[in-house]
Amino acid sequence: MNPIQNLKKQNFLVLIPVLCMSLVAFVLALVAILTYAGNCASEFNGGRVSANVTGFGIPAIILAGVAVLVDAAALFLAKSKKLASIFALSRIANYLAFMLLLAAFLYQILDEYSLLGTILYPIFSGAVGDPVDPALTSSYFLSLILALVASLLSLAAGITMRKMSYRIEREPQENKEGKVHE
Amino acid sequence: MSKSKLLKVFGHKCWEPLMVVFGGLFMVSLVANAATVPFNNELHGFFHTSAYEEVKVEGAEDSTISRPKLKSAEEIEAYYRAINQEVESEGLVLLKNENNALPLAANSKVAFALSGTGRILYATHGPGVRRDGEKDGAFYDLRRALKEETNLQVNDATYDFLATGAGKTNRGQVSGVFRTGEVDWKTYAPVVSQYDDSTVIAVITRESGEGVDVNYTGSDGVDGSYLSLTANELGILENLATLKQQGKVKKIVVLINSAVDVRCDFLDDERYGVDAAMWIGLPGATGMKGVADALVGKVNPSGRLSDTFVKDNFSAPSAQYWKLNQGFAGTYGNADDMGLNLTQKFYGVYAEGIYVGYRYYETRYEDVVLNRGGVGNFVYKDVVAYPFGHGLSYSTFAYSAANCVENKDKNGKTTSYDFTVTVQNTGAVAGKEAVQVYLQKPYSRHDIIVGMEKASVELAGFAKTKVLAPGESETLTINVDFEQLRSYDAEADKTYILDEGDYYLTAAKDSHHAVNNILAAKGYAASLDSAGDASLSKKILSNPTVDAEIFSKSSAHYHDTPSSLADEPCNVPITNRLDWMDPNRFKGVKNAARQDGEVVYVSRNNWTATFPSEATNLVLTGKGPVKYDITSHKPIVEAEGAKMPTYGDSSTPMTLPMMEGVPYNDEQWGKILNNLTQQETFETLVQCYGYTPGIPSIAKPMTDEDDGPYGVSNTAEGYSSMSCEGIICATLNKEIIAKVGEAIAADARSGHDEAQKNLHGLYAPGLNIHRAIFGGRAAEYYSEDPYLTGIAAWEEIEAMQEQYVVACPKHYIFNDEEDRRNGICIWMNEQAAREIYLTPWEYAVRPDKANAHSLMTSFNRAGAIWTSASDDLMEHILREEWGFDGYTLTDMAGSNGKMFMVYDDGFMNGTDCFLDKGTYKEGMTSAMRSSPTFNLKLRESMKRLLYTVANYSAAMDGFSNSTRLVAVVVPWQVGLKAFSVVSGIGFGALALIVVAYQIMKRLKMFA
Repeated sequence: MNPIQNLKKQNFLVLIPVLCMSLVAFVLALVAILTYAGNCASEFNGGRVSANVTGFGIPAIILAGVAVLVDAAALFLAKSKKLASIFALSRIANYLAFMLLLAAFLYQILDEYSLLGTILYPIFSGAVGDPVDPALTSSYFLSLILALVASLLSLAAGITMRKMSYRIEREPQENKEGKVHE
Repeated sequence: MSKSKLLKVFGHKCWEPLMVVFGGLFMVSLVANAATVPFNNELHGFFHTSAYEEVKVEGAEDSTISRPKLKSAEEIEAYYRAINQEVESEGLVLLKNENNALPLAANSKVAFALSGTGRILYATHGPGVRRDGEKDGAFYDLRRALKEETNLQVNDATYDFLATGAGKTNRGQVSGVFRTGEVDWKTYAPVVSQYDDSTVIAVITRESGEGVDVNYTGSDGVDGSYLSLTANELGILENLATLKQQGKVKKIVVLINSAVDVRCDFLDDERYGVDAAMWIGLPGATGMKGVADALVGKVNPSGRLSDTFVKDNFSAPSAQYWKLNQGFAGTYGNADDMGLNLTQKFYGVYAEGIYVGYRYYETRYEDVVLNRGGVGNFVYKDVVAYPFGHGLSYSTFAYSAANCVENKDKNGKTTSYDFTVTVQNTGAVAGKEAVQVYLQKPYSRHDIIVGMEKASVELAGFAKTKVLAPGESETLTINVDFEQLRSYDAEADKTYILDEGDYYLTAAKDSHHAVNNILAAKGYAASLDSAGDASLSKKILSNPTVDAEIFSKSSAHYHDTPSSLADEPCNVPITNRLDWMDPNRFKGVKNAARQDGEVVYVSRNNWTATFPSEATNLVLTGKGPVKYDITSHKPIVEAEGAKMPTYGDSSTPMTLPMMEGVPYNDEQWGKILNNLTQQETFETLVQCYGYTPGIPSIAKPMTDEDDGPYGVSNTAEGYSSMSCEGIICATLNKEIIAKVGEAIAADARSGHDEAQKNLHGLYAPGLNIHRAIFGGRAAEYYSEDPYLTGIAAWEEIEAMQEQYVVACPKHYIFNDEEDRRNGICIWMNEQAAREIYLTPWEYAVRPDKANAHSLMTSFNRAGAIWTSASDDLMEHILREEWGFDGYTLTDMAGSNGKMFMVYDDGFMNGTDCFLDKGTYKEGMTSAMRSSPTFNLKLRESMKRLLYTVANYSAAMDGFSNSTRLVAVVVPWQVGLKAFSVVSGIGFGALALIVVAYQIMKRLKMFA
């Protein structure tokens, strides 16, 4: 197979999972933050939505979205090594999304320690404990898990893209006519 | 370096992963640093550090405050264990002792049955005390206690069978339902031969605890509740009885190991062959040694039941209400329509009114004897197994020479009565006798007309003899305050009254004996179910007409200085304050189950018509004033002329040690408060999460507090578990009760447990009422009787505070059940509220009584509003009527009560501190920040806290006018900051490298 075609095929095989991961991370992050903001602050934390969770979560969603767009663009537009290399920078957005989602996840624990404590107290004390709306408990844990998974998926997408980027660099450079310099 | 070399270095594949790692660590460090704000105290505790250090400045006039501790870290454990053993010895109750089955003879053989034996319940769920001390030998189990304390031949095989073998307990909660999980008799097959010629000790254990009530249905008890014996438990007893008949078992002795009452009909049922029974409550770490002593007669039991023990768990009106409403917590009929959340939608009605515990059983019994109309088919002995106050001894005691003397003041007004009675030990062994004095107030025509209720008898005093040798006598004098004759008339006179009619006092062995004594004195001797002794009853007053003046003003004496009381009582008028929590007087709620919209309170005027017979269906009507409705964040109403207080004025620098001894109303308090900023004031008061924060600017030390009612909780040491409160007050020995307070406070201050540090306050004792048998938190509360609760609290609190450990009794108020406690609306009439539930608190907090310096409020609502947000409860009754000048603290406001346990409602109505981790930034709204009235309230709360700490807290020990607090940065804080800085700089630098490389690469690429 033509080395260029081979490269494109290899990149395509990488870009598809990266795009999937980025897309899932974006959707999960969006659902996590919406679930949190929509449900979890209703009974606890004085009825407030944690500014820390949303403060980190919203930029994370934006960055994850950017990563998705760039990855999608790469799928169709990365016809040269240079372009592929540039599109591979979507990993930076994924890295940042990972960091911000990690912070949002941790703040979701810290700022909602009342809720978490109330849920966990009966488990550790052996008592029934105070009632927590099951829907609230579900929302909270769903949001928590989704934020963590989204964070890890962003990281995974970034790392995979980075691998692809290094592989591109190792691959032979094509000339303007599309011929390969050995 | 050349460009290509730089590109090579920057292009190394390690930078990107490192950037991500450092970025992740930076985020973790940000959150970790943020966590140090709410968890500052916990982190300092964990690392054994302090946020500031004490320094002495030169030149200040110095007088060091000395508040010494009673016991050192080395002394405390042995001392504490001895008190625990003594309390249990004195408080355990011998319920039954057929044919002198107890005490057990020396060297006799004992074996065991029932799974409770193998796993004694020492303490309850929740933050009471550590319950797993048996793991490291801190707790004494039954076998260990018997082996150490007695010379009985203990059968190890049966014990091991129950502790670790096939017979061990499976008790616990399954899907929120307590179950015993007792095995059946067939499982005992391997050990049946071991019972040969032994006395079998069978322990019945029932769990209970914080956050959950005991199941009235769905459990494995024979009546469906958790508080009756299960078929397997009864089967085991029945088979043991068969072995006894066959001569293979000598005796059967039952120990009831439970803080809540257990249905006791089986004890007198011949099928089960029980020879003797003891209630041992929850014995704490060392209490089983006292139990062992009692089993062999080293201790002669002298405890008296602090609750009525019944034969039918549903015989009391409160229990019947529970059953009819499928649990105590009902849901408002229009909860969904109104969109009520989990902290708003539940309610409970105290439909029994004042008829709690023996007040119901004895009163209805009296009405049977008096043949009062509507009394119905009530047979006392069918429903009551052991009356309130019941307790046997290995000896017998006779009462004689009862007499009552009226005491008067210089103006000729009656102040109290001295009731004297001579007690003689008529048995063969030495022992103590607990004498109870009961009061009967008249159930008058006035009461029937206006709808007041009267119990047939009320405990009015008690005393215990010394150890009397056989034949020895002692004359006891028991003082009864004249004010105990008052009754609350919420309907006509709207104050306490001295009712018309005859008043009696009688000395008695229990509540039933008391009723019979009085009825005998009234000429009904022939109609009684057991003998009454008329000679022990004294008519003390015949009041011809209702006197609505005599008790209509508070007799509380306020403090005039922190250590002295005003000569004159405060005379604050007492009138209805709680109409808004009586559905029959408050328009904001109605009972949709009845046409008239009212709830039916139990009345002795017609027992059958008023005994709970149908479920209630309360609905909120929305017709009540906003002040009393179920919403939170009520509008802040500015007081006339209110001016914003001064904040942050340090022109007159003052420190807290300077305020020791300064009267509450002295203007110097204003000056020290001026030193504080609004943020300091607010954040101090909303961060009292087991402590009150230190304020370096005025040298206020941090005070450290912890639970709990029967011992310091959260301790790494198991010995801190004391006997449960029911056992403590069952001693009916004020000296012993005071010793408990002394021991708990000494333990708190000892510094024995490093993790616990030296405590300065305890959230104890628990003063809620054993209102219904199913109330789950009984272990942390004393009794069904408000007087006994109040007196026990008085003794314990005084002893605690003598060691400068600030007592914080809990939970003010009406937190007598656990289910749905976060926001449940409690409805009742004011007579019941005052005579049953508020009474113990009056004893606990009045400066001229126990003088507790703080109290904890409750999760629940009174009526529709949070108890802490009621100025009637928090200001008018607590501070004005009773003269309380300490600080109030919420229960844990960080739980799911946070929706209604809110700062504005709390501070505006007399709540001072929040058991929370609030911050100024998030908690202080602009409305609060700018409201003069709110800020004046806030400042008053701070004053109460500072006044308490300055004058009564051990935290001030060693402080003087020259003491200053200097904030320090401790190693873990440095480490955390360094972590942040390193990870942040690392991330930034690596990001720069990565970005630079990408730019350089692109430039090269496109060159």
